[in-house]
Amino acid sequence: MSEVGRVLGTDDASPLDFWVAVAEGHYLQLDDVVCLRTPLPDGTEVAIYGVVDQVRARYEGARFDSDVFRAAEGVLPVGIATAAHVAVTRVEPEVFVPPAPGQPVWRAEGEERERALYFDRMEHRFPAGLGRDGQVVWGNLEFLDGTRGGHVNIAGVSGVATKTSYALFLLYGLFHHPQASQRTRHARAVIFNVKGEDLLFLDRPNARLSEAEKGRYACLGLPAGPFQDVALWVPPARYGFGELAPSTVSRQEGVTPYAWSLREFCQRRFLSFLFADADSEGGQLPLAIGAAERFLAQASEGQPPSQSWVMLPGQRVTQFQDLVDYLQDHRDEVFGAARVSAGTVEALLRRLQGSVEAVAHLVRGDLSPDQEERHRIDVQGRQLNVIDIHALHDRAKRFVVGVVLGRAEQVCAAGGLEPHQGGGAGHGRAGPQPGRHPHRRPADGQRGGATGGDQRLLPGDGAAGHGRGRAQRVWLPGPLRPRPRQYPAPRQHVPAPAGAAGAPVGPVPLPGLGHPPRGSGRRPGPLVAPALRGGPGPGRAGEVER
Amino acid sequence: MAAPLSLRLHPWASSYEGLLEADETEEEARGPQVDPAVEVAPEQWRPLRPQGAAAPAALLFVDGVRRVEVGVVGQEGERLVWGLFGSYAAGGVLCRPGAAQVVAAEVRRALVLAAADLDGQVEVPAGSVALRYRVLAIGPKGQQEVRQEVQHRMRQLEAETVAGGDLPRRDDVLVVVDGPLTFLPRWAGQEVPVVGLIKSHHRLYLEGTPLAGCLGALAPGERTPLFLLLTEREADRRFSWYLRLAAPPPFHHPLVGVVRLEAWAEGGKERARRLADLTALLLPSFAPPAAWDARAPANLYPVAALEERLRHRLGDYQWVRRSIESYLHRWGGGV
Repeated sequence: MSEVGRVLGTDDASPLDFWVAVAEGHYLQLDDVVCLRTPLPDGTEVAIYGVVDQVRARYEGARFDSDVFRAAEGVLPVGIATAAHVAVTRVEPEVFVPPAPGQPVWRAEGEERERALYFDRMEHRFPAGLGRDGQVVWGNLEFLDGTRGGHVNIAGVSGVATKTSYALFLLYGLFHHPQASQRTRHARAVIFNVKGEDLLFLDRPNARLSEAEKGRYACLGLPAGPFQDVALWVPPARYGFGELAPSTVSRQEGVTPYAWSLREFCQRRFLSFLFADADSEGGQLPLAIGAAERFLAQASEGQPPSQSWVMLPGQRVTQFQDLVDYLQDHRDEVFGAARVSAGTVEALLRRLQGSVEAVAHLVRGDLSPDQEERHRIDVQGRQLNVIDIHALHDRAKRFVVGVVLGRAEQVCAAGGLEPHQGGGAGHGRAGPQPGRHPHRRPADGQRGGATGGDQRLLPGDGAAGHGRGRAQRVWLPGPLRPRPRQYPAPRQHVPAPAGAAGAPVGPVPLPGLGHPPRGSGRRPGPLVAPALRGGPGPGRAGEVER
Repeated sequence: MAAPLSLRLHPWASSYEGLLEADETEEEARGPQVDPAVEVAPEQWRPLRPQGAAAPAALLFVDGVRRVEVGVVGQEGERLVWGLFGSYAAGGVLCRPGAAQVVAAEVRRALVLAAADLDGQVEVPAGSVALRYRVLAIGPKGQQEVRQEVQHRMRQLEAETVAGGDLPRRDDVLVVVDGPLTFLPRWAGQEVPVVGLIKSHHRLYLEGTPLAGCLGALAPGERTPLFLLLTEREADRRFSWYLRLAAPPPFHHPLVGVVRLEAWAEGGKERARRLADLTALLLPSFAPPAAWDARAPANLYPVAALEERLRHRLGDYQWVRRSIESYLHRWGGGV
């Protein structure tokens, strides 16, 4: 450690911040890490660590601003005083006294720097970047991987890709740094690409990476290269026969078009993902959506994965348009049981018709079983999943995000843990499929054969068959269950039963019932979505950026 | 150290005179006659504006400050022994085109006693440091002489600065000493050209003569012709001249902005004339505006800044004084 100055006595020093006079021949810059020791009357010493958050320089001996010209002319002798303001990060032991003015201050290096920034307390860590001092700044992995927390806030200039770049760097470090990758081996990251197609090249080396930048990667202990384990998912071309072709412009090879079968759409109750904003629409629409979902799931129950079309009573449906038409033509059967008004049903059907153009190429009845398997987005297969949605219609964007996150959440929940709060894409939906095992198809779950290592982690796996109702909520952790509102909204003319609070979910027409709170994961547009841990051990969702 | 001398505080004297600038007035007040005919005949006196001269590479402004911290009095047999704790400092500012810097600044502290046969030093604890006052016994003398001793010591320190070794080419430096040259020991200023700058006009040497009109007619950058101060001792004779640094604002006395300078006569008239021209050319650019300093423009930028620095180095007056009081209280001031 090198001495860089001393604690000022002309400005107050306090236990949590103080000024350091910078010695001649030395400098302190923003973000520099410093430490000092200050004596206590009993002879012991308190070590104080901090980070420079302000540096100032001024003339000493000058009285007026214009004295700078006198000094430059060689007329007025002045001195230059440089001082740095330090925000205290750590006090060891925790005796909160101000540092004594005059105490020498050192630039914290090596172990002292680790202590100053609490790196010494991080059992598992990931590289968060380089400080201005060129040293690695570590983050505590336990606060990212869900052990103790799962948040990262990224702030930056808007519109120039600083935040995206940093989020990508963070993921890269998590997956490729020797210290972090041990614990992230089973983690999965999902990136929704909402702008341009740049992110579709994350598996390629950066041609513009300079030697200097490579050196900085080396400082971090990171290899300078592309992501090693990447899946690139892109929307299929809207028209075409046979194999699905990618719709992307800049890249055709190495990308996988994504689509789902009509059968899966019905069985897994994807319908509500078309209405990600349904919760904000209030009224009875959610009930109508639920009724339609229920109808489709019942009608398609047990239909084999060998077909991507769906057999509805009296009609074989092979296109999304036909599905919507079917619901329209059979509205009495579909919505009859639900106590929703004809106007609501009409509203739902109007919206459905409006969504046909947006999602018809994503939900199809013309997939072979092999195609269905290949083109269904499976984020478990690769470490990093880039899902391109930038060219999709808004409603289709929501749909894709909803399906992927809903699916991811089920995987997390199946791991026996609560998904990240707020990531409630599947809240209130009767969501679970038999095939919660990510690598198996829904129907496989009917038997619950324990083939994968994850299987043992699925609670109640055997009970979760296709049966609705009872089994559907087995996987939902308590706090995430749909909660009826405690009180109906004031303007809702709904006779709320006195015991409505906590009442079981049922056909009680309470607004917002069974829908996720606002700001849930179903909201469109999360750029980088939860990194998931699906392997042995607690599965968690750590949100990278919202 | 001889017989122990117990000192007690003499608060009134010191607080009243503590920061008083004394002494210089007296020599000026009873100053010598002058000979105005050394450069031009008296009837031809008029303001002179030098046309240019080879400027030195640097100017060195030398100044000192002194302070009586606290007056003390002791008892030596039947006699009262006057004394004081005093601090003084001197330093220099070297001004070159583009850079002015303090090249020397030294602080000394003394316990001056009107007693004989005492030496050593007393250490007064003051916070984290101990202030060391060197005991200066000047023999049985009065309060006045005790105070003057600090002044003499400061002047000596100034002389050491002038003669000090930190300067660049010594023959290419013009030294401007604050105050009359008479207080400088003669050995200082043998090698380098030295002028004394006197800010205050305790006495107008040309008062009452027709020559005073010339003084009033000075424009900024102009000087009077040289005149010789006819001191009794030949060796003390100096050439002197008045110089206007800046035009006074209308509400000031016309003499504000006029300073008197002097150079040793033994250097010769030509040398004095060259120095006079140099000062007229150079010094006005060092004069601060009235808003900058209460003693502007006569208190030049480097001098004012140096004094401020030196005073600062003396330490906080109240704090030092309090420390000395505590010292006298605890240890009885035994010397």
